[in-house]
Amino acid sequence: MIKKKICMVGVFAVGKTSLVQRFVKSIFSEKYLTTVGVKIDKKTLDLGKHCVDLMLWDLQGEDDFQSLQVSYLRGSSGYFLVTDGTREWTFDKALTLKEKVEEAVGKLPFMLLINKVDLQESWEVGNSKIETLVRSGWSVIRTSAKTGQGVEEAFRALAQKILEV
Amino acid sequence: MISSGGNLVVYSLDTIGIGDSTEAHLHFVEDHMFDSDQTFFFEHICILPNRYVNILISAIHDSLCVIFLDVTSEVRRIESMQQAGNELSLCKEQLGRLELELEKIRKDQ
Ligand SMILES: Nc1nc2c(ncn2[C@@H]2O[C@H](COP(=O)(O)OP(=O)(O)OP(=O)(O)O)[C@@H](O)[C@H]2O)c(=O)[nH]1
Ligand SMILES: [Mg+2]
Repeated sequence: MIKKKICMVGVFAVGKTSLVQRFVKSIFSEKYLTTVGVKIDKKTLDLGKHCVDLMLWDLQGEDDFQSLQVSYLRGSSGYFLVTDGTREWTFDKALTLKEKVEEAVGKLPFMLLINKVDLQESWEVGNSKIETLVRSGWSVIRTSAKTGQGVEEAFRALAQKILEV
Repeated sequence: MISSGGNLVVYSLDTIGIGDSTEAHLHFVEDHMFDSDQTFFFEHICILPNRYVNILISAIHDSLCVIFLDVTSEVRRIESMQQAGNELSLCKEQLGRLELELEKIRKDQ
């Protein structure tokens, strides 16, 4: 079995843990419980030609006191930059986080997730910003850990990208 | 530990009380880490529900040394502070949004 390590990177409360829980266990909770350090989950994904064991490293989010600990990224094959569509600054922060990751582990397959797409009434991230990133080659997916929208698709797409490298 | 085939008794490691096979605890690292001669150190890792460890993976001579240190109580302490801090930050963000909205309404009037 091929094993691949994927990291969830992003600022606090964007939904990194919720996305992993949705993907691995098909569950969602409204209650916010912050992650300290890293929580590791595993899911086997059948991609047709290959089966791959995904090791999902759900990292603690950046906050006022703690910045991204790049040591956790060692040995990863790819990562998700997770942002919260209802908090625009978390989206803007994705660029800096990507730079930090690349400084630490070099260029790796990644995908930008704009999460909480179910909360359209408080959506803040404009389409033009998203399109600019897409034009510069970023893969962007709108997700909702609450409804499940885009979640399976995102993990499959990243796993596929990783295997193609 | 790996060469012991997960048989913790051989090295008296069963006394650390994790109780599972070594491999079960190392399922989360990519295989290539075991081939490298680098040292890996990971802090505050949750690999079992409600149990946090610091892990050092290091190649020593021909074998691999894996050290687990239970840091659950330390993590619990950090967790409550971080939770309060992040909830406060979210409240401040929300307040900022409401203030902006209020300002807009005032201007429109
Ligand atoms: N409506 C909605 N809420 C979400 C979604 N994803 C996460 N949430 C909520 O957002 C809050 C934060 O979610 P987490 O998954 O804990 O966020 P995190 O990024 O892991 O946070 P840290 O561990 O502190 O970095 C929780 O209250 C979740 O219920 C979503 O897609 N839609
Ligand atoms: Mg989390």
